[in-house]
Amino acid sequence: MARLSSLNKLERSLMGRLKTHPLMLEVPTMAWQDLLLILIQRRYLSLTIVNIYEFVIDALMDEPIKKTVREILHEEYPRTTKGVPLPSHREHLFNDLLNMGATAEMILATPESPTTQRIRHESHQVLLSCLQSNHCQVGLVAWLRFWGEVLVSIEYGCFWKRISERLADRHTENKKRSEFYYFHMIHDSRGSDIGCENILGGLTHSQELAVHLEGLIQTEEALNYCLRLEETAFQLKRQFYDQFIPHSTPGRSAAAPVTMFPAG
Amino acid sequence: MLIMEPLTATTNWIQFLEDLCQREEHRLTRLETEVVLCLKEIPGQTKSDLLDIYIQSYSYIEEEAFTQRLKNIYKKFQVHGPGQKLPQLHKFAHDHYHKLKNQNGFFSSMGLNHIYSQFPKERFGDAIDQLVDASDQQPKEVDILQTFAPNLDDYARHLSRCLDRGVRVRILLAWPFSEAAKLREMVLKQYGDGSTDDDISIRDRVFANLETLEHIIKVSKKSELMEIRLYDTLPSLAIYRTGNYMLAAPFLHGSLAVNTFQLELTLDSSNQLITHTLKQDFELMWKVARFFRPEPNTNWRNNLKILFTH
Repeated sequence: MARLSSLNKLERSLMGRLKTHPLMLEVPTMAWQDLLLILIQRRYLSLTIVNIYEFVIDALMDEPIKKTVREILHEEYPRTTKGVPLPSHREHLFNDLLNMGATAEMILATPESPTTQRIRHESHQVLLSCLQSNHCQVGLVAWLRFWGEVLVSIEYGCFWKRISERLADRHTENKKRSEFYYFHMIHDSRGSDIGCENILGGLTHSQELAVHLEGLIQTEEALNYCLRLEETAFQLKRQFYDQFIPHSTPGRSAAAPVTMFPAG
Repeated sequence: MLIMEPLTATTNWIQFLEDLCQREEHRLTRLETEVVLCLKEIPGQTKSDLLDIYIQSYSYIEEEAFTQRLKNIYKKFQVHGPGQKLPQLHKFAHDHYHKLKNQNGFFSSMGLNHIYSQFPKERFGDAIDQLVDASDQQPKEVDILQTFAPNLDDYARHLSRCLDRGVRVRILLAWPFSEAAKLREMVLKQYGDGSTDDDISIRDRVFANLETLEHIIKVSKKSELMEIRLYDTLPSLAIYRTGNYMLAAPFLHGSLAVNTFQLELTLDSSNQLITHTLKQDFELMWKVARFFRPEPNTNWRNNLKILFTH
């Protein structure tokens, strides 16, 4: 537990830094058209998440952890118990964007920016680097959880302040309900410090992975590896949002992820 | 202690004698059983009285043959005491009968009517229908408490009828994403007696129940009378209640609650120790559980996932 305190502290700090990223501070006053373009660009990262999850499932050795990751992935593609496919989370994302005022053409034809493409590529490179590490298994889980769940919830939390102007968190007469952003903001969230998950009340995706992470962090080296990975995840998110700040320098920052990331 | 099966509040003297003769340790023949069935509950019968009743009830028999048959009966009941054997046989039967009656009276006062070896499918369906059609003042409510109800589809029609006829329905199920549901699933997989699927998924089974309830909501004119709540704790007993009728069964490690013994209870019993405790626990779980409605034509699975995480 004491070993995890530095990781918990870092996570809280990085979450705070993402919330106060200059772009996130602009969200409340941003023009809707600009917000939609950011969310459309952000959608490209969402489309990647399935591949990231599939990669992690293949690279994990431990069956119970694989099971957890598999279950989270399969939630993206719900079915009835009779096997009838229901709209996927990807479709919910598309519809939320439409219901906020984007057109199908905007969503489908807006090209992925070079920065978004690079962030997506480098995120994948981080996973590849995990394979070379002595702490591969813990790295995969730490990356997946922090990059794909904890920070995602923070991002959507920041956007929700505006999204909720046009979409509701429940069925109402006036607004359509958000089926993607609102629910991911909640079920992806960090929920609690690692090691403090409560058996009652259910676990978010982040907490489900945290339970495994806690068991995998057995040494200081493993812990340090996680600290570096989570810092890298944050830097990638930061760079992604930097691209929308006028006059910011796109491209690699001093914390460029892959080169700073020797196999641990 | 003599324990008779089935244990019912309505066991009478003749049923008792018949059960007694059929018990493994006595093994009376049919002809011997007929003699025993001629014993009156009130003591004082002579051998001659018994013979007269036998001839009236069954067929003519020579006294000598009748005496021989009685001797066999005494032997099988181990009536060896000095003096006349017939009063001893009567006392043996009478003592056990009253012991059983006292037991039954006690259980009956507690509300226990019967114990089934597994869930009585038809009986519960009939009990719902009786409640719906009843004109008396018993509470017009149907309650089900389960982790998931494997038999819910059997009662979909009954529950729809309840709603249409103004009977309130309360369903308490496990929140399928709870740690408690996962634990129950693991226990069944690890310690199951073979009657449970090896690949049972509590999550899928609760989802299936919710789909059934979604359908009931869809077809019912008064679906607001059905309230569904989900809990994230461990349940005490599986409870199926309709008005003053209740079936309760434990969640054993080895099998689903519907496949184990079921206590059939009457809730308006004079002694409320069991029934009140069960009702109270249902109400407690109802209070701590969270409201959930699988609204037709909505993405209710989204709501379900976050029910306990915000």
